[in-house]
Amino acid sequence: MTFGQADAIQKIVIAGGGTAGWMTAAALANALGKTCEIHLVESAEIGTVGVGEATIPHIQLFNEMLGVDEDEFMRKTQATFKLGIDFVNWKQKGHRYVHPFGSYGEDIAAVPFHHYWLKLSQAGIAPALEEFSITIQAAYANKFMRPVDIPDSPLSAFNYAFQFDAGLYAAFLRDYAGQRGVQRFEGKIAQVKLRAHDGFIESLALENGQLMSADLFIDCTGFRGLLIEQALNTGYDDWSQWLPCDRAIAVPCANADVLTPYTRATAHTAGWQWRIPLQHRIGNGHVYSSRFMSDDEACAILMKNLDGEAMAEPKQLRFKAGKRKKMWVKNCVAIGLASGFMEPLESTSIHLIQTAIARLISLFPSRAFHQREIDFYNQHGAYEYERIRDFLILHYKATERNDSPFWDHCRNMEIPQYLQDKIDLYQNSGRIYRENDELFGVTSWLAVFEGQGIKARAYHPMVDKLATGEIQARVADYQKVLRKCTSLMPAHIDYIQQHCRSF
Amino acid sequence: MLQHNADPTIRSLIILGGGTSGWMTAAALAHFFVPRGVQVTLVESEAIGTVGVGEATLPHLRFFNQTLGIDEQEFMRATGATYKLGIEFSNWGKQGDAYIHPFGDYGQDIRGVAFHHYWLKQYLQGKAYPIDEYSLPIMAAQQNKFLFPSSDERSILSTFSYAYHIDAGLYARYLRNYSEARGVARQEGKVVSVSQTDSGDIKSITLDNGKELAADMFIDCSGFRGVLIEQTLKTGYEDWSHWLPCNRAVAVPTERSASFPPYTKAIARDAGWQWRIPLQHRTGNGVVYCSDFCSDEQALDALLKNLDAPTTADPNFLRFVTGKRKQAWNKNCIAIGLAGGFLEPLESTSIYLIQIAIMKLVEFFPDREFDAAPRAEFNRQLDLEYDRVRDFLILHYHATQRTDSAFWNHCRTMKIPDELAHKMELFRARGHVVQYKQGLFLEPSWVAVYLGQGVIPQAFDSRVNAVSERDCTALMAETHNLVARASGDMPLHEKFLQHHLQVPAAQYASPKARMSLYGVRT
Amino acid sequence: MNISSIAVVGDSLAAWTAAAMLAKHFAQQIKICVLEIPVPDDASAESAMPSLREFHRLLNIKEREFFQATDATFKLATHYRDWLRPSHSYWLGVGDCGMSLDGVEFQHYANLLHQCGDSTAYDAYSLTVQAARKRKFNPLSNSQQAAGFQLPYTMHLDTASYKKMLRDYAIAMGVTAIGGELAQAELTLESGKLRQLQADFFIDCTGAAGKLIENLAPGEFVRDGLGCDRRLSWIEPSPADIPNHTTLSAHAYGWQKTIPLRTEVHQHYFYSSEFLSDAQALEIIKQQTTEDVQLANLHSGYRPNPWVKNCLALGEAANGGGQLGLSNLHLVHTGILRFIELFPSVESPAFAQEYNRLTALEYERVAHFQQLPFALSQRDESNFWRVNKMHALPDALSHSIDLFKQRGKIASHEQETFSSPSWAAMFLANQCWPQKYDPRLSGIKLEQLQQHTAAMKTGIQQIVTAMPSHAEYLQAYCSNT
Repeated sequence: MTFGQADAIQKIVIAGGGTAGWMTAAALANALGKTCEIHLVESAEIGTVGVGEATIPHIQLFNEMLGVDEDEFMRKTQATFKLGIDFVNWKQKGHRYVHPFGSYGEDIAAVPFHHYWLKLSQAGIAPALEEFSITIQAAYANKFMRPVDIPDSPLSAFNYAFQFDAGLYAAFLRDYAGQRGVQRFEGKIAQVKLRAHDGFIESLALENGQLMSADLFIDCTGFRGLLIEQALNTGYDDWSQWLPCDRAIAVPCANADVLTPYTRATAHTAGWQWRIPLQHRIGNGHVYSSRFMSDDEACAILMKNLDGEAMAEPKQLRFKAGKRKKMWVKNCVAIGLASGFMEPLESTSIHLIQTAIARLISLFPSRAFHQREIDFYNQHGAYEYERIRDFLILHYKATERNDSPFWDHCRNMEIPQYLQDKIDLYQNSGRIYRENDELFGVTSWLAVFEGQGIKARAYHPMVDKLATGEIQARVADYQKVLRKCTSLMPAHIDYIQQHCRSF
Repeated sequence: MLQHNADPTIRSLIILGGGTSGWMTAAALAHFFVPRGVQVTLVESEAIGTVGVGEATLPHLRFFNQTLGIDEQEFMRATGATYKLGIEFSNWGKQGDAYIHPFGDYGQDIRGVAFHHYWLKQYLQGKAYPIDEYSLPIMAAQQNKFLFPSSDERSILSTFSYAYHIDAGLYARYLRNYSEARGVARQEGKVVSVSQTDSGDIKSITLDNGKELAADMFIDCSGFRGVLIEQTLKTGYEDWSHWLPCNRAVAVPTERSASFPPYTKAIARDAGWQWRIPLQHRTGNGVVYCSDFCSDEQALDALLKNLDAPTTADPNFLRFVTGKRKQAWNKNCIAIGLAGGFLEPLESTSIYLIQIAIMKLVEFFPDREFDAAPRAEFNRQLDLEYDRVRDFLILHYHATQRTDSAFWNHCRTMKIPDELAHKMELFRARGHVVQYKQGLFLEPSWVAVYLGQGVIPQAFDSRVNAVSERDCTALMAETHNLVARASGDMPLHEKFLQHHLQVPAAQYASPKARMSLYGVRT
Repeated sequence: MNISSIAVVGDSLAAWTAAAMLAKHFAQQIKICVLEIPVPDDASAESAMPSLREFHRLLNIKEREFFQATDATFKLATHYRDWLRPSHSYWLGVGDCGMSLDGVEFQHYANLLHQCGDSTAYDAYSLTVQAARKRKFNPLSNSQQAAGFQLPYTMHLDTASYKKMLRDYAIAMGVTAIGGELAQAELTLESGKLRQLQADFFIDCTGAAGKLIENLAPGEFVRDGLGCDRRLSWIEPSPADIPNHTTLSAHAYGWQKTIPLRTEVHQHYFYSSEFLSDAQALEIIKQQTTEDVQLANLHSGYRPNPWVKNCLALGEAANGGGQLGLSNLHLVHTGILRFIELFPSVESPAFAQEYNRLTALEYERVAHFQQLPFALSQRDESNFWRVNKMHALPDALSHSIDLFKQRGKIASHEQETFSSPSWAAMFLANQCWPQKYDPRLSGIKLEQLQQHTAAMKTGIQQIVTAMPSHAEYLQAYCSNT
């Protein structure tokens, strides 16, 4: 006898145990407690992709929701701190900028700082925009500390994320989920059985003959989308006309001298390379377009651009940028790569898992599976994907590079209208609006616009209420404070040593 | 990429000279600034001897050691140290006289008025015991006794402090280990040239081995010569020999003697004075004299004639000019120790003056912009320290009734600084000691020397009369008894020392130090 | 000199303060009398410095009795309004801000945080200021004190009743008061003797006129060339919510000092007659009050030799207590105690020399401190401010300012009245933040510092929240016996 609602979901099966699977398991176990049985099936034989080692600050919310101690989580996952992403060679070869996890300057009279900066910049008397981001300054100096709650200090006004070993993270969450009642089953899925009358998934048949039935199925089986696609034939939106990269080669290497508190994305002739420093190694990978570059060449470029000795064989991945037409179909929700794929240029993979989980929890169904809620879920998911997509496209589109056919293609390609509007708005007025729940806000767009050569021609009219000299003085003051703050931060490596060194 | 060139922090610092001052400075910087990223290098040459005076110290050294986390027992063992309660001055006021300048008070204040006024009243009526008998450290010292003071203000045992006699060479070695273990680098070599920037700051020093060492800041601990502060920066020297005429010294160690007093001796001679500093393993001796009144041979002769044990080394002659560098801190160079000034060790002030310069250096530690105001304040405060110690030393020479030598006739009749004359006048008139907050020697010390050398007031503080004769006599008798009993109960210095060198570290309970010459009650 | 009699001349607060303390020490040995010549200069109320409590302790005056007798209130802070510039205000608390850590003064930590952009006002770390802002008062509990908090305080008092209290005290100790005709007669000091009465030593407490000392050292009074020379005073009823702070409000020609007592608020409007005529001043005051207004002439400055021969000047006769008059009563206290310390039991010029030397040092620092609000002010809307601001900075003060601006350090001086933390608080209240932080703080863990300062602020807020109002506390305190 239960005291709950009669049609409550009583059993969930999660198919697949990578980052997505275990994040979902942990979060649902935490959210649902004992009201619901959660089973996860994974096979030790199937490797996980294990990209997405770099995260964005929202992951802190996820940890917080789970009640995970941050230092402990970091120790267990060989994690390092991350203040932003260092984009090298994107605007042009030899150019560099950082997309920071923290705003530039401070608003003056309710007008965003960057308008004041734009005025000075348009007059040719502005210091570099990066001078106004403590995150960037700390990143360049390889310094880190968690924000300190000093009123009005830049030290209290930035954000950070982590770079960690996704495999260790999955293991960490597996322990967490296990302690909270999630049962793990070993086995490969042989068949997805659908209910005849409504096409809902009834059960998963494993190769060992076991049958796993549930009210709700979560598809975390990766690109393949074993449930959502192979069984439910949902369909996929292909975005490769805007995001032409379709392959990646990943390889870890030994640590460099300096432990950088940021991820680096270095553009090459037909794609880009990630560099993610962990405590015990550096994760590297080359994302490229097979139309413009051979696998061998891509691999050679990657191996040539490592900071230390390679620690494993390079591993190749193939993908197609895009998104599942629907992420929730009937009683199946696809989370992680099963729901779509976008290259990790802005470290969004884990974030998309996290928001999918959050959305699922907030729209958690009953066995009635009301279609309105499912539609709502899918609309939001699609919007989120598309806005991130547009932001990624900006990186390729806004370039002055003309040194390869790949970049020529990108520079000249058609882009989605939403992105075009955003660019036009900025160029014409210096304004950046964050629409609805889109992930990337003013700071991010500003960083990439300015970092990749898109200039505003105007600024907010209220800026002129302050005399230029006054603006210069305030700006100089802020710069001074920011320098002082940066000088007081400890080295990233020392901070880790003190708080969360892995053993 | 943006560079943070704006950060003006001192990144490197060179200490030139590795004597007591060099290694004390190095140790303090190792404690305070090496952990903050300042690279400290000490340059010294084994070919240059150190002066190694200042074997007698003041209680402030305990504060220095405690600040640096130095264990007293370990320090005592490493430096052959003994405990010290004061200094005995013989033959200063007149031949045959002796008094002890104690690290502690006489009696205690009664109704806010210093004890010596009550004593004076009775003394002027011919009723008091000698004032020494109201001082616990003096009575203990006279009986060769020692005990750690108490921090309980109610106890008579809280009325004194203590210092050490140490082997300065061993102390420097000890601090060298301390400093090197904490990241101070040592460079062997003699300076052959110094290069300066256009603005006159010191840029680098070049050593005889060809190495050129650059730094943001330099500490000159090169002794009298002042290789950086004077030879390079031409800072200038204020000569005080018209007030403190002694300009030579000859030192010689002797074997450990049977007499093991917990105090330094300063015995006035015909043209100067002789020190005696008892250590665990030997006794330090020397004569400070004025070459105008005494030849080197005469001085050596007087020294050798007045030793109580066989010598263990050849005598070592030193020359000096009493005075002070016009600015201890000039440009990016600070002179510490003898490079900053020289005052004869009559009141064991050498190490104290090093220590105070180091503490001010820590307090006013600059950055590469070397702002003017902190430097001016540093110099102003050090000048005050020097001036006040100077006046106190002059008092010893001037307040004498000796007429038995040309030297003493000179001292007795010489013109003294106006401030000192004013101070003496106030004491003569009614036992008033001029008060100041910044300075080493405070009321009890001035009282000790005034009274010890025959400067007897005509009157005393009028407020004394508000206490009835009977109460006054009773209070004084009580103090007298307490001092006699407490000093009688103390162990012999030698026994105490032996015991404490051997007890397990946990049982070695030395009290917390303060930046004061006296007990906690003062 | 064997002094067997002392005549204190003048019926001023300084006179009775001196007489009380002299009597306390010498009543048995020396004849002490007070010649009660009227002195018009005393302000009707005083805002004392914390040394008043020590002074009372020396006299064995019970604080509660003092409160009951003098309409007194507690004083925790001074509120400076419009000094830095119009509509800016700052508070200076009695006692220190913050707590020093590891031997480094608190201002260095606050400065470090400030350099990081911290906008917390320095007085957020002052319990006295926070309590004063809320007009609350309560002595601290043992556990609050054990946590490192302190609530030092001083008092506001009614001059006339306080003078009477000291007079009663002195007379009970054997001091003779001489009034009547003798006190009406012209004073003439002839070769060390007053016609009216014989005494070995004279204490001149006749106010700004300095009727005795002026005979012995005519024209020696040195004017500061700063501040005000006129005072208009009136009295208003106290509000129900009695403040426990003094207010000093700057205006175009001077400033106004508001001293809240239990039943009355004493207003003193100071101005400089150079820039504002008495008639104009009265016009301005008429808009504020309908009460009776008293006018007094003042002088700001000091006597380099307040002790000449057998005469000592105290109170207004010796100095004006600094440009702002912050220390007038305090300097009477230190003056008489210093005199007692140097009481001349034998003939020697050294005593007067020493007294004058120390007093000059003391006054110099007091004056320098009080010059700061002028020197750091941005006001320049009137000649009064322009002149005061332009007034040449003495070398020692300009060194003090440089030293603080560069490094946040307070120059150390002998005979300092205002503590180093008070100097620091004055600088910081005037937004004079040092350019650099103390190198001893480099490498400091900001998280720990932030936790420490946050705990301090929270602790202060909690204590203040739990306090009763000053008015409630006073009511209970003064009705209790």
